[in-house]
Amino acid sequence: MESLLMSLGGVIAGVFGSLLGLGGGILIIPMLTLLFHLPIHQAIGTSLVCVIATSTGAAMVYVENKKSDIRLGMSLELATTLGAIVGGLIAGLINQKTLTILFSALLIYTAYMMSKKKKKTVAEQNNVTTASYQVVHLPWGMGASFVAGNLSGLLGVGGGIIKVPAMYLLMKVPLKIATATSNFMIGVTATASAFIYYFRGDVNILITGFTTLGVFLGAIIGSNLSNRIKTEHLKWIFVVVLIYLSVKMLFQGINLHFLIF
Amino acid sequence: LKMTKELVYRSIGTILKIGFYLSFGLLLIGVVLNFIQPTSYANIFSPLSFVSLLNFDSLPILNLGIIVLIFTPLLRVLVALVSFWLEKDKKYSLVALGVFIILILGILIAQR
Repeated sequence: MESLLMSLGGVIAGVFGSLLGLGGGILIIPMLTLLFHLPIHQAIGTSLVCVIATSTGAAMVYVENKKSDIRLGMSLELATTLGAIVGGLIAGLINQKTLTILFSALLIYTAYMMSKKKKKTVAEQNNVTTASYQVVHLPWGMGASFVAGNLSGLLGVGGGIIKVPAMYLLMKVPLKIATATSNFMIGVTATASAFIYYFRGDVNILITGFTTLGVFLGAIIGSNLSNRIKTEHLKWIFVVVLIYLSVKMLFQGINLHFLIF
Repeated sequence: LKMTKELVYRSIGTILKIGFYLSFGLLLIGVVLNFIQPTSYANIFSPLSFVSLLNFDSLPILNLGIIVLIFTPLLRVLVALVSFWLEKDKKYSLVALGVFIILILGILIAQR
């Protein structure tokens, strides 16, 4: 029964993830720690595998219609993979409570970034190919990518929340390409730290298997829904959920989780 | 803009598809088997123990599904490296080589 719920949680994370352009880790870790009382290191290990599943599925589509800039992605991966290895090693040295509080901060940051997200214009959505722009400020982009990789390895998320703004605002990459390239990179980044969690014993085979299968299914459902659902309202529901989860994680981190709400 | 897709896009697309469906299939089989014969999940961690794979135990099959998934991005980088090389794109084959070396170093550090 519990394993069925885990798969269901994975489905929900996968659906929301693909509808809102998130890796899904931001939902999976609170679910596994708050609902199933999994130690946060194991939750992160599971989440990294789920994130690879989401990225592999998304990249499959984006590579097919050439929205991912493979050359830019590969260059930035030099920094994200290094960051991810460092982040994964640091996570091994940090205790559960500190990691939980850090994750709570990440949830708030994600809620803030989501609330700022504007509707994309039609012109921006289409008419862009990987040949129609010039990348600028590559060194700064590399720096931001290292931070994104670090965050991915430390907290088990994709890090798109840092990479997409960095590519779009800093490096002047069109938004659609930035999103697709970020999704493409996430798998490689997550793999770098997934090995560390796997060999450290933080990837519980059964829990990860059930959750990842759910994410696979959710991603397939989500990509089929995305043309029929208006994500504008969904976005605000999600912001509220993220704030709620952030408070719960914070209370868990500072030992106030006996407060019922 | 080239009309035909570059080799690197085609080859990476193929690797992603194989990894996605293979891992999805293995996890599906593993989960179904586990419903038929449930195991408890207190701290199950069995790196690379595929010996009992042929017994149709759910755990080694799930383990293999996870391993396939984790290794797909590594293969993706390797395939990109070869594709860039074949396209005589020296700069990006070096970049791909760099990413590949970092990932291998990561595995070595992880195993230590």
